[in-house]
Amino acid sequence: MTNREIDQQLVARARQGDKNAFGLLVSKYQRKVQRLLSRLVRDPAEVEDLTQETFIKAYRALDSFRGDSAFYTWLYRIAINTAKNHLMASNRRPAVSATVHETEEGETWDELDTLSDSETPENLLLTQEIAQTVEEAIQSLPEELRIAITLRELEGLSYEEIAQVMGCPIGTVRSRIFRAREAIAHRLRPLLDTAPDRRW
Amino acid sequence: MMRDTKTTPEALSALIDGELDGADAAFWAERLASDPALSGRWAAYHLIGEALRGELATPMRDLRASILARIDAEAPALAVVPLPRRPAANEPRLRWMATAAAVAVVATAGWAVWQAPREAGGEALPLRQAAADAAPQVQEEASVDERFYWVAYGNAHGANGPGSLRYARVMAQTRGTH
Amino acid sequence: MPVARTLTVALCLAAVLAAASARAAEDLQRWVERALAPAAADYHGTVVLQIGDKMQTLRVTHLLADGKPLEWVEVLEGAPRETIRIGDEVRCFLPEDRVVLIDRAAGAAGLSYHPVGSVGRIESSYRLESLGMDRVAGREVFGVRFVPRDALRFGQDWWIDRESAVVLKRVVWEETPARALETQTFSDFHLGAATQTAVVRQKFSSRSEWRHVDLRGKSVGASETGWEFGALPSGFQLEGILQRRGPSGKTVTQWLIGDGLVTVSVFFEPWEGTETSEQVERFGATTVVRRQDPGALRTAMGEVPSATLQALLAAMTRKGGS
Repeated sequence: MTNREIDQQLVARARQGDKNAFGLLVSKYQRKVQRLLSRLVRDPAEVEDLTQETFIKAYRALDSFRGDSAFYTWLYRIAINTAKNHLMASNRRPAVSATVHETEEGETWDELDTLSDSETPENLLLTQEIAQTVEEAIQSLPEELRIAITLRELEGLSYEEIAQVMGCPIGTVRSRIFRAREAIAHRLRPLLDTAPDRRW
Repeated sequence: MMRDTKTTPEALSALIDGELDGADAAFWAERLASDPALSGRWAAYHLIGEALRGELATPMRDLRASILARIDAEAPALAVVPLPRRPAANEPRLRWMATAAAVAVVATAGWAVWQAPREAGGEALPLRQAAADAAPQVQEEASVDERFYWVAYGNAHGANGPGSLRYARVMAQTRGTH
Repeated sequence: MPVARTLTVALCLAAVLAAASARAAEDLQRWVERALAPAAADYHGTVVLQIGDKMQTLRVTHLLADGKPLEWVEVLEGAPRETIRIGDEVRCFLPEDRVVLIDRAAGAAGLSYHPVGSVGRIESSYRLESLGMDRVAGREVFGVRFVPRDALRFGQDWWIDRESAVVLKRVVWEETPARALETQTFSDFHLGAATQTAVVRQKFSSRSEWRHVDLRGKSVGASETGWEFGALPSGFQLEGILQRRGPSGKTVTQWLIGDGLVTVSVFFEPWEGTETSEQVERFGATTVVRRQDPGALRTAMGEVPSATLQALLAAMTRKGGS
């Protein structure tokens, strides 16, 4: 099942009234939507509101999602429209200009390298903490776990390709990646659970 | 109650990587939505991936709970719509086996096309009991091939599920290989 | 005498708990027994099968006509393949080939079909667990999990309709790696008859212009087969032997071997080849192992791991040691 098919299955379940399935899509895409919106709107509080609004609009419009584009491109489109409407209503121009262009998958948004105000010192600190914890966790992993998770997350290799690179069965790759994730998640847990407002 | 708790999240990890297929993926994707321990891992695994790729520009509150709360407050939001069924033309055909495998099997003696005798004029044969090692009469057109085994297997006993489910299962496997 | 009183209370509590768990076990057994018994009600609905990455939808009608079960299953995608069972006889209609396959139904002619009271046998190979009440197809169901006691079999979950005891959802799963192999679910289910029995009877006798192929074998004794089984894998018993006319035109012998929950078939047919080879395939939960040996082609099929089928084939020897 591809990532896209997983999303489609979650959308199908959400359409049937399963809110938890929609919650999984929120967990998966909220930071991507936040990143996108923070390029368009400076105020972090506004970014957060707009992120929520984007997902709520998406939920209401699930019936109109036809599945001919990927769920995230459809979601990004809603996010951009939400931001544009918000800026128009407050009579402001976008913080940066964003270009949307067509690709095979549908519309995508060209990310622009502009530092926005949402990267407040507090947020940056938490970012650094999370990044640092993940970095430390990955360094302390046994080598075969570290290589497996790196090839997967950074190089985007499939299990089969990783099995070829590492010279081991696919089942072993699957188990190594899982163990690596569990070890890193274990280290992150205190940070995620105790952070104020359960910040990520 | 979940199945083996040790292996459950491993399946989830593979699902996230797009490395779980068909029934397995459907099964775990279904479990995922109803099991908080699994959905927590789903969120954490995605976060880890983003952290490793340096995509954590704006860490904010986890919005899942407040978004779901707002959706709840807005109910009745969605009408329940049945899952769209894929058009039959795109439906993967259930076959006895992949074509290549089928060819290999047919090529081996004994798995040749099942040749059932028929009387001249194309009339249906009267029901016939097994005759030990009766020489087959050549029947050039319709083949019943490996479906014999599925039908013989499925009809003879209670395998393939109780009641109607059993016949449903056998029928799913009786599409010809041609 | 506080100690004695405490002890009495503890004993009473233990007895109550033991009684409660015994009651719970009996409840589970009753649910399974109800599900195994032939359905006593008319029903109809749509069944969705998920087999590996394939999905298929079928319409199912079950009627009782003069005390005889009448079942009609139609495939809803592609060519309209159908199976109709009336009493002891099953007919499969295959429009692509214009063929009607005629076979004996399970439960007929001394063949086993989950006889009521076999729960004890199931429990020697599976541990029953309650999955509690849930909903399937909008109906209240009770879930029973069959956890295999060894690696010779797969696990199953049955979701049993509270009102009619029809199994509305069945999942076959394996423990390592933990995954569902096959799911059969009613997406809608209704009690009562939506079709008249006369209509089904008429369909049953239709298609007289198609080729009719009779699969109904005869029941034979072990001594007539030329083969014998050594020790069967734990929990499995020989349930019956049939001889039919097979794909090659030769007589095929079919052994039915079950553990109370699943039944495996082992087919033998004479073969002229001299090489030895083995092929293992999996279709959802059904494993097929084909073994060719000089003179013998054997096919084992069943909802069990391949190792179980291989053990069955290994336990089979030609009589007289040849």
